[in-house]
Amino acid sequence: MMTHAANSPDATKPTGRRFAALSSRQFLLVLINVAIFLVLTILRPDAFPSWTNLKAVLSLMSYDLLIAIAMTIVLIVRGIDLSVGSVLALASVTMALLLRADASVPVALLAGLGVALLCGLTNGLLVGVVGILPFLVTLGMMSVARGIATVLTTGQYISFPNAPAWFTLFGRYELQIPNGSGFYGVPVTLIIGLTLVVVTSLLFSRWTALRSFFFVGESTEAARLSGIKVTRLTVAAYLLAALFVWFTAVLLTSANKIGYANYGIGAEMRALAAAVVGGASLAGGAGNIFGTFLGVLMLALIGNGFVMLNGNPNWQQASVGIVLLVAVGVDALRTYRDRR
Amino acid sequence: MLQVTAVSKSFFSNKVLDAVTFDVRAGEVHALVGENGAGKSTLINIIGGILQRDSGTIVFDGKEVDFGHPLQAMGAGISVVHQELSLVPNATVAENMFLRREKRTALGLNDWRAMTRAAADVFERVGIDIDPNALVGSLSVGMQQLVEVAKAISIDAKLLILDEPTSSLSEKEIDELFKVINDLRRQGLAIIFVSHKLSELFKIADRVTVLRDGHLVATAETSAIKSEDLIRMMVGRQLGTLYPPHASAIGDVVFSCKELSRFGAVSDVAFDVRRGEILGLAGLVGAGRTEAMRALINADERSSGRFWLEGDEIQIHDPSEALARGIVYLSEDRKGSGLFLSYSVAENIGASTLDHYADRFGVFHFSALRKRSREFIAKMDIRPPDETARVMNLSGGNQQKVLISKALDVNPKLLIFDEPTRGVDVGAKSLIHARLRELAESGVGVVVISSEMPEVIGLSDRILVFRNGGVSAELMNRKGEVSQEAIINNAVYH
Repeated sequence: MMTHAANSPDATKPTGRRFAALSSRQFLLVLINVAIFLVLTILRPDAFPSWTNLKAVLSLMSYDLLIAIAMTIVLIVRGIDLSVGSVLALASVTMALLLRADASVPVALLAGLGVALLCGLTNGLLVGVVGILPFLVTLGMMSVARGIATVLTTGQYISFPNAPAWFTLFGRYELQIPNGSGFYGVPVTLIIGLTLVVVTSLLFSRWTALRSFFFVGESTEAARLSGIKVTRLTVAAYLLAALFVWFTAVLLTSANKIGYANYGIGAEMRALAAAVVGGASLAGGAGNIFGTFLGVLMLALIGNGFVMLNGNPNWQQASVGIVLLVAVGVDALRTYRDRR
Repeated sequence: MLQVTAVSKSFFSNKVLDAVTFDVRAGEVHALVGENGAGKSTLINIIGGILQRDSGTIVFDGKEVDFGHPLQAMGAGISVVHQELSLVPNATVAENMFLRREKRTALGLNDWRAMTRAAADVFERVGIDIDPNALVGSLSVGMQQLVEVAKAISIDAKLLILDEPTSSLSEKEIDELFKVINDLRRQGLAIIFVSHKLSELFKIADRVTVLRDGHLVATAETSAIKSEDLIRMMVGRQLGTLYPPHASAIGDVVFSCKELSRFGAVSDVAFDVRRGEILGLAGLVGAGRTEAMRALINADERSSGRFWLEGDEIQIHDPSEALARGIVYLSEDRKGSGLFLSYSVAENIGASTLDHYADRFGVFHFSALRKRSREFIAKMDIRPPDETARVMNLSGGNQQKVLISKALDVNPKLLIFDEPTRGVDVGAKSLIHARLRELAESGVGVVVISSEMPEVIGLSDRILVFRNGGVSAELMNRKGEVSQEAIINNAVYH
């Protein structure tokens, strides 16, 4: 994956230079992650480095990772999607309600996908065709989707005891990897998350349609005059983001065995922080999926650190905000320097 | 007054000034010339304290100086008038002149009376007639430029640096400005005058210093040098004829357009473009040339228009459809809507043609794009010759070459180029002209919009003059015989 990211021209900004991509930002992020890891290992050698703890961190971050990929995609086309968390909830609730009503799993999954894509399409059309600011469009969608999810469930957990066992088990499935004396259980959510990181990363550097996203974000007008189908790609970006949100909804609903209207509250914040830390820019035209992965990992380790050091876990939320502000500040500075 | 010795400056690894030595005397107008990217701006920014030198010494008024900030330079008596005006249009002339260094009354309030009087004194000193109480926005650009000059000398400047002060002025306003400069020279000021217009500096400058690629080429008395010598020194080689020869043969029609209209901007424009010819669109800014071409590719929605490409009637619903048919429009605003500034040269060249670099499985190969980009870099003489360089770090001329490469990579049938050489230095300009001519000779229809009349006449074989959204005249120009007067005559109302 490292070599791939190094080769990818879309690391942060496409310079075409082979190693410049990883040189600064992503490399720094790797170092920060290693540093946090070492500090926590030294301070809590008993609890932190245990596989049980690391597994919990990694499986929990998988959901954030998928949402953050969605956010990165939209940021690349100079958009933003604040509705990721609530669309996650709405898709989850839709699937859970159908499963409870004894619909088959494929029908429930497709319905959830349909709902997510409908939200994505609405976002995309309002931004790309009508031309409303993405911030406003998705802020509205954030409220609409959450509201509908709450109305549908009256705020209750929606369980689906009659759903096939394989569906409720698969979200918690762990791949057993022998480690000599016993097994490491690797959560399937993590495997799916990492696979999608690699796949999306590859597609962004090797598939012309996705490479075009960068041009749209860097300069919409130049992209349009260069014959790039700007409107279509903008809508596609929001649809693609919705697809990733749906993946997350499926995994989360399966793992928790319930649908819930309050899933994903604050997810947009963590996704935004991770994506911008990882190299995406609010000014568009930049973003790196591997960087986003490192950003999510960093937030997860910081969050776990508060737990490990017996700090108030609520600091986690504050720390996400601080990371976001620092990252956005650095991004603004970078954009300012670029524009000069 | 000013002695600059062996001053060097690098940005990252790029040496933009290499041991430049020159001096300005009191009571002298010293012109600084060179192509874009020669290092003129860097040099005056170092003298003015905006940039810091890496090495070398600067002696000003007998003392060695090292300004860390423009205000220090100002305090020492060095005043820079930048190309872009920095006045506040909604404030009066006097307010502008004393912006951020207001005179105060004993109570600490702004003393407008004193400031107005001081402003009037300065105007009297330089011999210009401007009411200090007039709003700056109500003055012409030329008058505003004079206010800038007055503001610059009102700090008791000993050295005045004027960066392309005439670029937006009319002939009459330039005369006015030169009168002021002459006055200031007589009063013993040292003046550095940066300009692209060679005829001007022969009128005003005592000596001229030529920079090229960050090096000092020569300093000479203006009276002892000829215009051709200056151009040769600037580009480092003899420019033969400035423009390539006109079309050798003109073939059949490549593209025609009829009834092209855009509500409120373009009305009923019709034209043909033939193989082998360059069609020039002349006219005043705002006459509808850019608007017509943007409406042609439907970048701005048109109200009507019919098009034929190589004999077949075609539809053009949006720019991407135009591009797919081989019709390329290159914007006059290369930074805003032409290039992807923070991306590499290679990414820019391939922006319209990403699919060309994908194999049959749809997998994109960056190496193929890099290889192609290196061909363009060689063909277009793009500097630095590095396909991974960010376009924003290139000079205007080289950016324009990247823009052309992007268009050529499409293998266009019709290329519409809006202001191909705006803000481009002499060397790049003739290279761009030569490439456009080659393109026309190879059978591509070429349309050039230019507001520079010598360029329209030198480059095109036929000229359409635009006026008020429509074509007011078609002038045959196979030998460059059209006069500027003929164009102007059709471009303005009588």
